[in-house]
Amino acid sequence: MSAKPRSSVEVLAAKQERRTTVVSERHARIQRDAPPPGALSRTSSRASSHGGTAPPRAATLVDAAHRVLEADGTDRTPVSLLASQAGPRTGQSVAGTAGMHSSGRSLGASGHFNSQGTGFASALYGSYLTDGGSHAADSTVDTEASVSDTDSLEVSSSSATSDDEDLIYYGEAPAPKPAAARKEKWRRLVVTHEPDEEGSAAESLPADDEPDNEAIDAANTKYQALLQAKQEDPTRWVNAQTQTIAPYTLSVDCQCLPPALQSSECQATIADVSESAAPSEPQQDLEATTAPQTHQQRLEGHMPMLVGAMRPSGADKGFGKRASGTRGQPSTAISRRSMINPRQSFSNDPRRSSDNAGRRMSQRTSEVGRPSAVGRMSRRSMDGKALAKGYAGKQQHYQLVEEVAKNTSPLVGLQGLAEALQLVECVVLQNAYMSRLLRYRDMRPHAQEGGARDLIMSHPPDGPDDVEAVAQATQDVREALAMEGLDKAKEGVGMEVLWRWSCAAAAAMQTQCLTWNKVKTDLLAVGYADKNVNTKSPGHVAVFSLKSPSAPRFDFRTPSSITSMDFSRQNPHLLGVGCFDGSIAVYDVRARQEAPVIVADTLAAGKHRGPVWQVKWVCLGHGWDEVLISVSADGRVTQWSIHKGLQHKDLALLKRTSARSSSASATLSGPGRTAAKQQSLKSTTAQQQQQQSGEPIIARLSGGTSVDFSPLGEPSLYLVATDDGRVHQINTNFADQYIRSYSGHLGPIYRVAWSPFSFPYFLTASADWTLKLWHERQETALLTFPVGQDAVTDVAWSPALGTIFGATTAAGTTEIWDVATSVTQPLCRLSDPVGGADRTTCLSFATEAPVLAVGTSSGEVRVVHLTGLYVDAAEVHQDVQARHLQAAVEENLAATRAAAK
Amino acid sequence: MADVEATLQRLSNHKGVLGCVVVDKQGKVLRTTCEAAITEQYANLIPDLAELARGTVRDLDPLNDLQFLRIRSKKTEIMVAPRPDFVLMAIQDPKTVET
Repeated sequence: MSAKPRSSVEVLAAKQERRTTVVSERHARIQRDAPPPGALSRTSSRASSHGGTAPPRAATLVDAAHRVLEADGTDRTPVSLLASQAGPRTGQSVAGTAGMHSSGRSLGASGHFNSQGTGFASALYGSYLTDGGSHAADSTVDTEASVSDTDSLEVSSSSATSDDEDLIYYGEAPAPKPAAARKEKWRRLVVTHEPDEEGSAAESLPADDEPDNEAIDAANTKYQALLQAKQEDPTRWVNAQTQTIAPYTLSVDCQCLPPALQSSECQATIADVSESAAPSEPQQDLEATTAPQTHQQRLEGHMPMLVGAMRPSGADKGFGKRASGTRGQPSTAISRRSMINPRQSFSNDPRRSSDNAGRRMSQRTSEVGRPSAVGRMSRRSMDGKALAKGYAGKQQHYQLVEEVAKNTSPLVGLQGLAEALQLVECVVLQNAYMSRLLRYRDMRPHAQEGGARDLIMSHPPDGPDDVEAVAQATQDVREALAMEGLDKAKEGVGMEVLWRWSCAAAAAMQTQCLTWNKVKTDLLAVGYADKNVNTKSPGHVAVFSLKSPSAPRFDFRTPSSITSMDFSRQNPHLLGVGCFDGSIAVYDVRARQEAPVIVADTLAAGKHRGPVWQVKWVCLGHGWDEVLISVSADGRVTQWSIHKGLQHKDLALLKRTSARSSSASATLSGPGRTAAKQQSLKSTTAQQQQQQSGEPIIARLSGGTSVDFSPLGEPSLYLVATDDGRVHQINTNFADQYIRSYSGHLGPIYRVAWSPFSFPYFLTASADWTLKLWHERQETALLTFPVGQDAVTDVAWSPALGTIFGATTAAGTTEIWDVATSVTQPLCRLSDPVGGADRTTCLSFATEAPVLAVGTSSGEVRVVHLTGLYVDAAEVHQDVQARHLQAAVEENLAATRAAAK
Repeated sequence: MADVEATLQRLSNHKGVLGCVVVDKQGKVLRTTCEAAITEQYANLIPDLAELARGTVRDLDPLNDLQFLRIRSKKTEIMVAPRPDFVLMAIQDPKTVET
């Protein structure tokens, strides 16, 4: 058959035309055709015969319950549609379109046949089984055959005649059209109408290249075959009709409330987005992952701590005692008690359940300020077994929490409060001390910030002459500084107390020693000794920093009074401490623990037998680890290494040399030197001493008071000062002999210090009210500085200028001397205006700030700013300073000699 | 706990410090060392500002967080330490020089 597609307009027009014809044709067929009993009828015939007369009337979708009988009683019930829905759809659809077409038209639903196409097809086909399923197979075959047969309208008409029995007549059957015309129309219909699966209203037209044309042809061929078969064997075909009408639809307006909407907003910042993408680690205390808790919730967490195992039947007065303890620190006390008596609480009432909440209820808390109220509650809980059960126990647990919440400080459990308070305090202090901190850094504060503090340029107590001398000294310094190209001369030279560091816990102690940290140069460690110091008295160590000019960063108590300390350079957090009872300890400042890292406090461990007067970290060779050198009153110079514990090795025993032998060696110089040296060396042995001076055989040791290693000279060479007024130079490799001994002091020497710029010079401070400057080669002092009317307790070279050094006296004055300026007068002196009872015990120059730290016997540390005496570390040229020092010394020597002459 | 109290006391006893206020996350005042009127003012105003500052810091860099906030005015300086659990505020007159 031809499958030539035509334009849709033509098709539509043709369709319209056909519809009318088909409908009328169908009417005729309905009347004419009577299906033979038991034979299948074809849709097409049925539909066409059906359509004309029956349009307006509703067709019944007949099911088994309804039976359609003809006038003569024959059963014309169309079989249920559903029985043969399995029939070939393709064929049905194709052929059914025609039927659809007509039936649609018959129903007045033109143009919508496609949508009802498949349904109708199945309906039409399905109803044509008179005998139910027995003819199902036949029906499928036959329908296919019928589909392929397009040219058999005559056949259909002829078979339709035999189908008349099954027809349901509705009115007049229309007159049958000529078969040929019908056939032609069928063909056109079949060809040109493609049922659309979608059921769209518009006709779907086969395209030129659509492959389904073959399918259409095949289908049509089959239909033709079916028609042929029908014609040949009319007994197998029954014509029946059916009509399905879409149920009535009513259009009803309904109204419903719109769904309840809630609009909520949410804002996400970049931070939230990134946080949700990558959950931040629960690190610092700033990032908290817990939801904000109320005070009670926080206490819930602390409850087990607060309500520990208790003594069960103690009277309230027992609680009263305990309640007087610290309210905010329940954990340690309670937990200790709980460890002591974990089971005692159950012994009283064995009937109590072992439920946890119940157990807690049976115990009493002591940390609440109102023990009686709580006791009442817990006593109630002991009354009945019921109360010990879970629910009631929980209830009272919450009540207890409330009680505790009311009574403890609301600050309990706040994370990070301590750190935050420290931070705020630092900031507050920074504000308060702002101008002084600026001075510390050698910066002038702005005028509007409260004004700069006036320089305290104290006059020496002697009189107006000295004022001039000081002024002259100032002038000299200015010139000297100007020579070096520094601009500080115009400020003048002065000392000014910036602030005083004091440790509250050590208020009753005296400052014995202090040392700046080698790396963090604003960190100062201070060691305190008891005022009446003995081997049993405790000591204190405090670490101060610039962040808190009023209180130490942390401090701790030590079992023995501190006599000396030193920060390590290699491990800047290690603090070596020597104590009055002779023990050595190394503390870790970072750990902030009270216990030392390592300690040698037993004789077996090498503890000294006398107070350790100085400790010093020294690097004995290039690339070697630092060792701690200690010198003590028992005459030992000991080296401690911290590799494994604290191992000691005696470097030297300070044998007491007699005055005669040392002076003999001192006077010799020049070529006889070696002989003298040998003599002095010999003299140190007991035998020689005995021979020469008649002293006892037992060599006495003299107590060492100070030791110093020069950073410039050989690392194995060091100086030791003794309490009998001598300084000895010793080599670590030759521990039993003094290389040189220097004598001249009349009293114990409290400090010996190499010059940091010029190797051969060193200073000593002694109790004989003098400072002496020595040359390493010469066994008598070069220069002597009369410091004052009291013992010189400490001396230190300035790290910035080679000719400057500072000294403290037992009279409470701090003085700055300049070798280049004057040998008899200090450059600058600072005395405590408050009272003279304070001794200044120690001092130390800060390396990176123009500041001096001075310790007093009242337990405070004065931070003194030095004006005009500071050079930036970058500008310090060691050789320049060395030359200055040398020049100064020689000049002075020359002057002295000249004066002597 | 005891040293927290001690530090708080010491802080508020500094010369020039007008007071110290600890406020919890909900805005309730936990501890204060100034008068009620001033406390209330600060407790109402400052935490919001701190939150705004914190938001700004985190908008600039989501991994960052606000640690400390200082507001210096002609007469006073307010130091705020906002934390997850609380906000700590200290008010100081910076012109007062401590001897």
